[in-house]
Amino acid sequence: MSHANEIKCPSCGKWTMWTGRVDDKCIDCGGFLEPERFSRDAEKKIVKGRRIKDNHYFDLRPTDGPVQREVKLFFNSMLWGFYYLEIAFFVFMTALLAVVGIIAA
Amino acid sequence: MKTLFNGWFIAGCLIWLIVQTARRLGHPLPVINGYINDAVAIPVIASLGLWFQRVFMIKNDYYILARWHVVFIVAYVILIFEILLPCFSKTYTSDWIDMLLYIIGGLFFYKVMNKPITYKNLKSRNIINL
Repeated sequence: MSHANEIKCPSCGKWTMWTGRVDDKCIDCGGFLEPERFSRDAEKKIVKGRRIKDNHYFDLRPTDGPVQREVKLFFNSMLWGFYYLEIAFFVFMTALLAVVGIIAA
Repeated sequence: MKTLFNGWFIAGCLIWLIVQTARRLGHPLPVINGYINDAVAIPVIASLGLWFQRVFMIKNDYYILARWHVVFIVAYVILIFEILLPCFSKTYTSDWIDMLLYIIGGLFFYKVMNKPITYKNLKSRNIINL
C-alpha cells in the first residue's frame, strides 16, 4: 500500500505529491524531492555493485591455516571500510589543495 | 561541466584572479586583499570536488555533497593552510579570521551552492533556453 503526501519541492518550492520513495520527483520541475537521500543511495548502489564484482582483496583458500585466515579476514573487512568513493574524493581534494597551495605561494 | 557554470563558482574564480593579478602587479587591493580569497576559497574548492564526484564517480547531476564532505573540506583546508604550512613556510601566516571565513564559505556552499542540477536551476541560471 503506497500512501501519498504533499511536500514542498526543495528545488522549485511548489507543493507536490510525495510517496516516500527515494526517486520521487516533483511534478512541476522534475527535480528529486530528497536530493540528499538520492545522492547517498546512488553512492551505496555503486559501492554495493563493486562489492559484488570483486568480493575480497585477499581470497580465502581451504589450505589457509587459522591464523592466515583470520589475518585475511581482518584485512578484507578493514579495506572495505574505506569505500573507494571516499578515497577518490580524498585523493582529489589533496591534489587540488596541493595545486592551490603552490599557486597561492 | 554544468556544475562549473554556477554563477557563484565563476564569481569566486574571477575574484581570485583579480586579487592575484593585483598582487603580482604590485597594487594589492586595499582592506580586502588578505581576506576575500579566503572567503571564496571553500565555495570554489568544494565546487571542484562536487564536479569531480558528479562527472567521474557517481555520474549523476543530481548528486550533492554530504554534510560531512563539506566539514571535511573546511577542516582539511584549515589544517593545511592555517596550521601546517605556517609552521614550515614563511609565505603562509596563521589567522583566526581566515579560519572563520573558511567556515562561513563552507556554510554558504552547503546552503546555497550544493544543489542538484535540475531543468529549473539551469533555466534560472540562463544555461539553457527553451
